[in-house]
Amino acid sequence: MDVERLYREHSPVLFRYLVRFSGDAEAAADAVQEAFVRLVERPPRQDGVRTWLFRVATNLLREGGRTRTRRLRLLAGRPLDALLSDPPGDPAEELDRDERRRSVRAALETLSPRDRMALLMRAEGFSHREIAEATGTTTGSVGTIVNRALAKLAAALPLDPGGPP
Amino acid sequence: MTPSTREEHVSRDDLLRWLDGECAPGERARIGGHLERCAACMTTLETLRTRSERLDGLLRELDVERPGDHLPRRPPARRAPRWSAPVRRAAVVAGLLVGAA
Repeated sequence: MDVERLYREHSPVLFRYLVRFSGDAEAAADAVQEAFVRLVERPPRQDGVRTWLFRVATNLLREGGRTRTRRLRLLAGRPLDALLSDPPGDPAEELDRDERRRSVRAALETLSPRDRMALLMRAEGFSHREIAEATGTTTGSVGTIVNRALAKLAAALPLDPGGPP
Repeated sequence: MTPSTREEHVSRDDLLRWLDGECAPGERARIGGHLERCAACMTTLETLRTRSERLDGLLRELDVERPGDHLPRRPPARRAPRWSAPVRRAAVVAGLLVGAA
């Protein structure tokens, strides 16, 4: 198995997905690294590698979540978003962006981990079969899960036609 | 235009599957034909499409601009197997014994 090639191909998208899933870039990077260690040690027999990596890394992130939340809380005075922020540009624009990020994060957090995972994997272009494999559900129920998640987010975010973009 | 009274609307789940390209060819054609005749289903489809596109835009707001600040460029080195430390120690001891002999 060419792990270097797989890492080059999949780690950027996996990292982006995990940051969207958790809001914690450091935890996301740790989960990517650990998932690749496990890929070498115990390669998947049946799943496609990409789906396997997303499933394993999401589980790692969720297992480590409690510890990291404690650690983040200890970083006194630094809200979670500050850890993700890039250097400031125009202050007003940054404020708007921070506000939008906060709203999107809060809305995503209202979804169950499985629904959030399905929605975010769909945004990365996974098929319903792959999403079902990764989330442990049936291919037929992915549409229901995604519809439910979109409707819930639309109640909190400007997603619907006719509303503000 | 509305479909004939006997033709049922397409469910939201099936419209989402249609949008995601998840339908088999026959089903895709059937739903596509219905959409041409049914304004209500077309509106629902447009809602699902807009929700998906706008969510994609909002998700991009969460992305880290320089992932390389967090993510190493290369995969991690393989973890040392659990037996490696005792084996290394044994090899050192064996080497000492051989050296002493």
